[in-house]
Amino acid sequence: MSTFNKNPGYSMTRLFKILFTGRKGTLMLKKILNKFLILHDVRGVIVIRENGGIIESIKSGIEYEDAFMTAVSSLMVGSKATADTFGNSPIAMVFMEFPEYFLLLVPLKEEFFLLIIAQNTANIGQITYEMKKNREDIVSLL
Amino acid sequence: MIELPEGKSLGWMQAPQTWISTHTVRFIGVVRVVIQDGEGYILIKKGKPLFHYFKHGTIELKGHSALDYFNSHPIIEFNLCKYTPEEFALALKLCNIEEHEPVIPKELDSSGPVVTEQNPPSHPADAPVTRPVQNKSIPDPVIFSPEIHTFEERPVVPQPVVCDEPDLTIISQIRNLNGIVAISVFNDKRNVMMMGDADTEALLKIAKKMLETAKKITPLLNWGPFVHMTLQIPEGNMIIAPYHDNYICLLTTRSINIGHIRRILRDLQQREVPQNMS
Repeated sequence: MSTFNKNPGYSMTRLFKILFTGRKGTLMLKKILNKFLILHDVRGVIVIRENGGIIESIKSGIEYEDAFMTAVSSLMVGSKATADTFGNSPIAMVFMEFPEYFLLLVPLKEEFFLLIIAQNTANIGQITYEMKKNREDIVSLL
Repeated sequence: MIELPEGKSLGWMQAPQTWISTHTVRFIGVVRVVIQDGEGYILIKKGKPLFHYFKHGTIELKGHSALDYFNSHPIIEFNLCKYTPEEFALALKLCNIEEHEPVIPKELDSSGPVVTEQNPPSHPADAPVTRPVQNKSIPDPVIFSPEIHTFEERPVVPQPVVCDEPDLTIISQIRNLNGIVAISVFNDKRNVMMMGDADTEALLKIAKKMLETAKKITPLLNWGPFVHMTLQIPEGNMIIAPYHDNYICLLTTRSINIGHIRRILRDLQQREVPQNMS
């Protein structure tokens, strides 16, 4: 009756293990993202796919509306297209500043990116330091 | 080739010849031009070209022919060299140009002729050989001044921005900062000017792509106009930011970080404010 029963690879024990590790991974990812959110004037942290799909996100005082997500997607696609004109150079970071906020986008692995949304008064040095410190841990959870 | 005073170099750049007169409204000096193996110059006083000269091997071009040659190249490479009043007076003398406005050196030599506003066709304090252009008895007269304006009537791409001499000074100062590889001013259509070691076309292509992305994103976010965008790749940073009615593009090494870039741009945009308000 169950889909899982049709697949001999999914025993109840195995399924429980997948669900448990998945939940644990999500919690761990949230915990890491929170290290960014507690930084002064950081308003949002998202682990996102190139197609705009959110893997995990936390926020404080902002909304991730559809237009915002479209903008983020355009930033990822546009930046990749620009990097291609450099001769397929990998992107190390994309920074886009507005009068009050900025976006900081860093590739994690393959099609995964880490996006930071912060007020202009946030300390970029601190953010990039946390990125260097936590990048490996985030990648290991993807 | 007539050797003119050296002047103070503001840096090398690449731009169309037409850019020079429209972007030098407060510049007094010489623009040294290099095209392939030849070299020449344009003597300029506040946007007004006074003398065009170019030499390639044994071929010497002066006046319109030199100007036509410069215009035959879509982009020329040149170095803007600012003159002191004394240097400018000497350059005029060397080019046999009669200036119709008083050229007053910073420190007037009391032994020299007194220059007064009531006596306009003045001469540099120590320029006994300066003579009217109409004097045909002098060999190789320099054909110049009023007719040179004809080039402005030619169909050229409109250039709304007047990036005058202080801007050039600022841009050349930025170019000279450690870690700045190239700096360019561009718009949707073309490269307005470029200083530094980079392929103009390639730089413009990348800058335009970034601008395209910025323009796509900005209305969606509703956060106001974009202030700047930096793309960091292992080799360095590529930065674009609005600048007057155009955009500025910086290519830097990785030794320059985002904080440094923001400071440079903030400084540049703050200097721009009084001009926009006036």
